[in-house]
Amino acid sequence: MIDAANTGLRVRGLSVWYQGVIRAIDDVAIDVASGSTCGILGLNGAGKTTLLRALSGFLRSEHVKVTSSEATLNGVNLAGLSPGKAADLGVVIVAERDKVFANLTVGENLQVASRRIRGNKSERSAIYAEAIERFPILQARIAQQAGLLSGGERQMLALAAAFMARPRLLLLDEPSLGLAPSVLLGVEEAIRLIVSQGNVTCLVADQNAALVTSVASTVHLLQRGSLSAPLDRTKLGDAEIASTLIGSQAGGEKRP
Amino acid sequence: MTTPLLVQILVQTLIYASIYSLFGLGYVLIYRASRVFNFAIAEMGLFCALLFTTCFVAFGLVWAIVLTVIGSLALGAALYLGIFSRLVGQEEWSQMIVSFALSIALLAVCGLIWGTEIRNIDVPGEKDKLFHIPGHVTLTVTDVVLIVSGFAIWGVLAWATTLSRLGVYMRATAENPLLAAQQGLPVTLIICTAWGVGSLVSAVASVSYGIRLQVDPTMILLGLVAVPAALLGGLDSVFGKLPGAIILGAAQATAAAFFGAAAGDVVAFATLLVVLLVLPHGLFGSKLIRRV
Amino acid sequence: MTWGGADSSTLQSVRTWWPHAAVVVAMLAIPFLFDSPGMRTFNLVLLMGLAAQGLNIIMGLGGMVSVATASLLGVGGFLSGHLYETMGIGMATSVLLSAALGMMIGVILALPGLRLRHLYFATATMAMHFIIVFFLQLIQNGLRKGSPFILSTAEVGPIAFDKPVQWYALLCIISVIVMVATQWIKTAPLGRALNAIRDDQDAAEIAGVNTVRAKFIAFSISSGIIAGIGSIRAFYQLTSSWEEITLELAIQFVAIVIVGGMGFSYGPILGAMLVVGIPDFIARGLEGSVGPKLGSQIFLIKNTLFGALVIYFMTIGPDGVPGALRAARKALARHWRRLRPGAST
Repeated sequence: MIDAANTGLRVRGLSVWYQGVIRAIDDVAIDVASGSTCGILGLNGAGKTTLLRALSGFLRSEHVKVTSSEATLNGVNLAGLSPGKAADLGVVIVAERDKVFANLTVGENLQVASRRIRGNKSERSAIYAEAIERFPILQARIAQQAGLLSGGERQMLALAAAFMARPRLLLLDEPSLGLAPSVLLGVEEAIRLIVSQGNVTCLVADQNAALVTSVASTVHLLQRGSLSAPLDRTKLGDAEIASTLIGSQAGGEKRP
Repeated sequence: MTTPLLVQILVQTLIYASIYSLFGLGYVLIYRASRVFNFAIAEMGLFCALLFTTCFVAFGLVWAIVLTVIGSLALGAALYLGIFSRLVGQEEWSQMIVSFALSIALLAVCGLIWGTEIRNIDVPGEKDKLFHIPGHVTLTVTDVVLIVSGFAIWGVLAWATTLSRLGVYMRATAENPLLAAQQGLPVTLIICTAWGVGSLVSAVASVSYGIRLQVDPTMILLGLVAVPAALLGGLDSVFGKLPGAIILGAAQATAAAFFGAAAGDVVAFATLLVVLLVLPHGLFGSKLIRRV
Repeated sequence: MTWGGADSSTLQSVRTWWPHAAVVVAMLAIPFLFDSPGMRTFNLVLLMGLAAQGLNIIMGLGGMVSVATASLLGVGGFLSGHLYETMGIGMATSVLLSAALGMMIGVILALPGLRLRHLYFATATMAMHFIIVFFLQLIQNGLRKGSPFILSTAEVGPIAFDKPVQWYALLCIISVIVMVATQWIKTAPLGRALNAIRDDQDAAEIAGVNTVRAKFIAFSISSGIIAGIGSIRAFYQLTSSWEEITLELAIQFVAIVIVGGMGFSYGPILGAMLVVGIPDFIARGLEGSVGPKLGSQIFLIKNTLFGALVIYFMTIGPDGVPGALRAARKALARHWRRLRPGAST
């Protein structure tokens, strides 16, 4: 008998329309097993953010239409939900911009994130303490306004928040953006840490082929809203995957 | 300046300051939550004060307080859910216009429901003189209770909406509703809370004024003169409201003492004009970030 | 009507000017369709629309929300009232003098506008409103011991304006002039500068637009027009008093500009018809049927309707009624395109 609680992410025929006219995501199909990480490589305008947002919910005020024949996480429907409902299902998205509350301190950011921790009081403080321990950078900056943190520190704060939330579906939108290579190692480690918590399905969308091939077991290419089949890692080395990504820009109109 | 005059100005400043800081808190909360400068706050306060008057006459003081508190919270939430939640995403000034229009309609509705004659709220202790300088200032027990409780309520609510856990959630939601929703915060509920509390503080200020003096439509001028106080302290600063209210109250009280009440109102606005020209974001305001 | 077929040039020119022609026809037809009370509503609509047209120049074109409109009307009205009583100066001259005074005040109004934006600027104009009204009150108390200025029937040359229809004709002509002027400003360098300011003032300044000069000129013209209309209004009402210069009145103008569509030449008239005309019509209708019993309630009902209408139109969209119509047309066009066989998605 199939255990629905851990079937992972399953998407068929997902399309996203803006203003009823622009199709940003075109008939995407994807399978990600629970406990594994899937990578999506795409350049600017390919639709990475839209794809991840489709799975984590749009606010009521945006003119967006999401259609799919199937989009489920562990058997529960994901498509067309509000961000709040998606969050209830255990969806955690670390966005490309605005990933932390800039006007709040680091401590206050963690306070907001800790609201999502399930369990009784001692369990919650245990998870909170573990987060501080695993992300030592935050302890030093706990009273500082998050907007004043460096890019790398902000990313770690966002990942710490995701860690505390014990996600079922972790969506990462361009986690490498604007970060120095040395910082990226810490980011990769943090991603692996969160996935290792168990029952976490992870989707990483980025332009940085090195990061994606490092954390993900399967890699797809996203081009103008269309998703490729998984790239054959046995045939293609990581360097070749990177050049495939660059080549994907050739002959493509820029998305608005 | 003679001592009685000084005392009069001091007392008047405290009275104004307690009212303006309350209205100011209302403006800030609603602005932070929805990016709406709610010009209808004064009229919302009038509505609640009239409600209080009716309940007071019918059910007595305690029930009047309970019902008005509930009513003001409900009014704030209803206005948000009914009107302003539909305007999300529109530019600030267009939402400002809606609040202007709402203020006009709400004032008229108050007149239609309750009529426009002056009402008095006769609370026990209102006539007990505590402090009296002939020709200048008379303070009764009620006055003191109202002033002190005004500041106290302001303090409690200011803390609750900023530094407490709820306050952190409210500030997070105000800064980025999408991120807040993604992190599982009940965004609509939090914004309704902000509107509800905003309505509540204006109710407190208006009822307080109504008890001390009288309840009638011209009372809305209070909420309007509170605008300079709110902006003076910086639009997104909760704690800046107090110094802003005191400064403005002092300016107004001084002008009123020497030139009469009407001059007081004008001085309040003129003070704002001067301050804005020097400090375009008020004393404690951070630069407004325009969300694209 | 063909969609997407080859257009002849006559068809194209008809398309551009038939809306204007329709408006002219409607304007000419109205006196024949409505009696005196109805005409008074239209005159009110035109007057409010004209003042809003003045506001449209800084607000619609330049995006600067101002609630100083009512106070400028008061200034124009007061000057006219005073000049009439002391020197018997008639409407034509009075309007020009009021406009001149308005332009000078406009220059002063522009000063906060140079430094403040959006909400803060609007509040500064609110401060100006209260300050000006305060001085108007002082003047009225000083010169007239508190009672309003009285003017008698305006005369332009041999014509005495004592019937609503005559005022209607005059106001229509002035409206056309002001609308044409606004249209002309829109296409002139000033209009483009204002547009740039409205979109993004910082970017405009970097691009080399002289925002300071544009603001001074715009505020002068706008305030001049409004004060001039204030003068006409005083002659129309035969009275001018500081008590009628309320913040409510000032807000009505802002609402009119927005509901009618910011920057749209017909916007102020359209907005005035919707949020002032409709309540006024309804109120007069009620007055007629229910009688004097309602009394002061009429005013309250009008205001409630005004507020409700503005809120309703604003929930449709921030571009007011024209914006909503445009959006509706676009939505319809999209549906049409999808229905046609062979259409690409």
